Amino acid sequence: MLNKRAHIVWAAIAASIIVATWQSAAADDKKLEPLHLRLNWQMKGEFTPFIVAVQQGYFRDQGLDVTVAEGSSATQALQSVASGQDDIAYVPSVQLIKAVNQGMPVKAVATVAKVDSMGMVSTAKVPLSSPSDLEGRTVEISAASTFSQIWDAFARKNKIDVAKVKVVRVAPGARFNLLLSGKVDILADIFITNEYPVLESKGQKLNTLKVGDYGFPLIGYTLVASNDVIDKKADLVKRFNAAAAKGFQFTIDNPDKAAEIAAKAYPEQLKADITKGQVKELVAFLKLGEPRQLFLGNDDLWSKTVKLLKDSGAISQQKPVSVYYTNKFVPR
Amino acid sequence: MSGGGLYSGLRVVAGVAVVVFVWQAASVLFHIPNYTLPSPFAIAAVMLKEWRPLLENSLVTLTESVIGFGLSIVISVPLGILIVYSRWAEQVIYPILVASQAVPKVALAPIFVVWFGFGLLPKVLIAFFIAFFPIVVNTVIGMARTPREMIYLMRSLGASPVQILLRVQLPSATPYIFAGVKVAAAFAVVGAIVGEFIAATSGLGYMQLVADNNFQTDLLFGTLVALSVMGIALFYLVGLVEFLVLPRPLRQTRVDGGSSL
Amino acid sequence: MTAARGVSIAASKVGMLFEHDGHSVQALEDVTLDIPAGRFCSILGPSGCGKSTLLMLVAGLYSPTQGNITIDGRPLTGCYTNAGIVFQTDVLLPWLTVLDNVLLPAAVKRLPREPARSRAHELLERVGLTGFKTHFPNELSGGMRQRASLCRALLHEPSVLLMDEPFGALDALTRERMQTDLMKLWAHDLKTVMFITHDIEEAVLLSDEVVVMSQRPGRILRRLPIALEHPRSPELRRDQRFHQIVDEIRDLFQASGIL
Repeated sequence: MLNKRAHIVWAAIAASIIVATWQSAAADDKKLEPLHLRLNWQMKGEFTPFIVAVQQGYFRDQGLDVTVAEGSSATQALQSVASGQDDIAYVPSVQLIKAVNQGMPVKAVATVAKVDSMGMVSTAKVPLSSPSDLEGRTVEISAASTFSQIWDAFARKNKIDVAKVKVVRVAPGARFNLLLSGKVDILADIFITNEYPVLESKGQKLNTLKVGDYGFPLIGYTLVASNDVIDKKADLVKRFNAAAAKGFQFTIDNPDKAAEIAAKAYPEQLKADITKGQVKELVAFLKLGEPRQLFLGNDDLWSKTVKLLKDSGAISQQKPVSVYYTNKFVPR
Repeated sequence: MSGGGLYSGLRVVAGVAVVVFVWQAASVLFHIPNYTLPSPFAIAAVMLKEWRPLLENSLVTLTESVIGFGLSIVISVPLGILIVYSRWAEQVIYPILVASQAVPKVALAPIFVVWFGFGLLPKVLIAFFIAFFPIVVNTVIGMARTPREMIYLMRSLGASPVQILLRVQLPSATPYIFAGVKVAAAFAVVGAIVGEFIAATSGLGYMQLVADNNFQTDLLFGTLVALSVMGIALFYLVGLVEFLVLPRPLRQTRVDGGSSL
Repeated sequence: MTAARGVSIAASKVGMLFEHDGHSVQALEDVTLDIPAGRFCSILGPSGCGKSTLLMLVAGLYSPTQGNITIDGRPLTGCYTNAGIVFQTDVLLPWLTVLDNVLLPAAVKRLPREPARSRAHELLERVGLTGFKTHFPNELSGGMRQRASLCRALLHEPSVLLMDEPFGALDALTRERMQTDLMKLWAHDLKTVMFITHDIEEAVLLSDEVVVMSQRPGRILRRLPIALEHPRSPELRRDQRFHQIVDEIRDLFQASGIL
């Protein structure tokens, strides 16, 4: 009995080795160049354009074998790119600017979102029509969030009396329960393109407020590469951007279809209905701001963001904008 | 403490100095960037510059750790005694305690925040939760190791169960209990930090999050140094208490935990 | 201090069956014995014959599965709390000084402090441990520790002294010294003593009566009164009559296959 079973097992192993070798041989025909994209978070609807670019074969068409890797924070993603472990990171501009100021040899190769989707959210019974509604409330601002960097300046600009605001700092994972159970009144560190649709899907009526509307229009997501990669693998970056831009365009033109493709590729992390909501918000934000062209930035836009951050005390230096971004790799 | 204590203390200091020297040399020679691994000098410089927030936040974390740790001693030793004396406790409570340790505290922390708010309490509770277990286990084991003849002796003298517990079982368990308490001290600090990661506006864990978010890697390392110092200080504080409280034969005179018993 | 004569010990048809993991062991069988008050009685037998078990039964730490134990005319239920016990290992509490160890019975029984202290000093002096009162047990040799535990056993003036091979773990020279000390102590404080040993000479040297036991299951082979005068002295070891009695017992052991 044992012998017979052993024979079957060995046969199965041999068969799988043969199949695997055959398949990898077939793949070798294409000779794709590998490239690692590091995200700043676990998979969420906002990353749909990249998933689309993989699934629809845009990267393959450019001769690239792109691995889209989830991350845990913008800090980690940037350090990974700076150290050479990953090629390109997808992070908000605020963290990129800080990294550059600290001497990290990285640069934005695509200005994806001209306007950040930072926002606030509250349940129906807590009014949130203007910044002054924060007074007298318990407001959650996570210590690791982008908004916490500019909170003081935001309050000053919008004449919020911070003494009247009870700020609590909670890890991102714990925020939703606290809002829905009423332990906090307002979450001030969310992104309209991400957390808002998630909360919406829980069936609650919600109020929102866009941070960008109240004097803080910052650049949102950017694609970042190390200076090393920019110098030595320029062609790679160009082809990556071309394919990624196609993914973004597809998403803008077919938001629901794009959401479906993404949910199908990551069924555990992405629920179809929430993803559709997130993609809808993403597309709305992508259409905001200047310059209109996909991935294109300009000096005016960038210096405005850097100046805002410096004035709000989030950063201490303001370097020439050419250090932070480049348009060299933007597809025409 | 023996005269060898001073000598071995100097050896430790020398060892640390060598590590620091090699690290500093490597940082300079290999041009290791500040945001990957700050040099010891950079860390020392930022710790001096930010000494005040470091001190204030250290005190916060220390308070959370010490209260959680103190709570764990007060509850764990009686709990250990109960488990030794009660069949029911041994068969029902002990397995529950063991199972509780498999629950990741990182998952518990948000729940504690919802139940107990944003202040000191959830951190104290998480510190307690991690710290109590080694003390309970060591109390139970220590008491079970009481030599049988000692118990016979006490019974033949007509000792009550309380007298047997206080005169023989607890004293013979103290080396084990103190070993458990030392472990618990370190665990309590970890627990406090876990709590701060989830919800805090102060403390070394909170300081770590902010430093990380600001790419201040040298300050991040500075908080780690402060944490290590805190952990070591607590460990030796327990050792000091042990030295003062226990009679000589029960003290752990060797690093390997052996006593002269 | 007037010497209390102690109380009588009696065992009537005592048997002890141990059950463990499905095995059962008959340690003692049909043991009937009486030790009058003030007598020094040795229980002599090979290893495993149940003599230690008998001592535990008399102390009340075990309960007989057959028969019963009577102390001072009264049937024994539970621990007999007026005994002094000396085990083979000294069982001194390592975290107490020698003096505090000797005072342990007074602490447990809540006896008046001053009389207890002076008695402790007196006992320690009699066994030559005065200079070690404030030492811890781990600073003493085996023989010194056993002497200290003997003092502890006598502190509360027990009516019965139970000794389970107390000198078995000591070297031969120390053992002789301890036997001499015990003879002196007992001469001063005549009590009922039940002394467990596997050493024929020791039994004859110290006792008024030697109870010879068989191998397991332990039964009484013979009860031998020892007609040597009191107080006993070490000189007895050279006495012809001493050796005669020892030989008699040796013959008995040979006849029953123990030797």
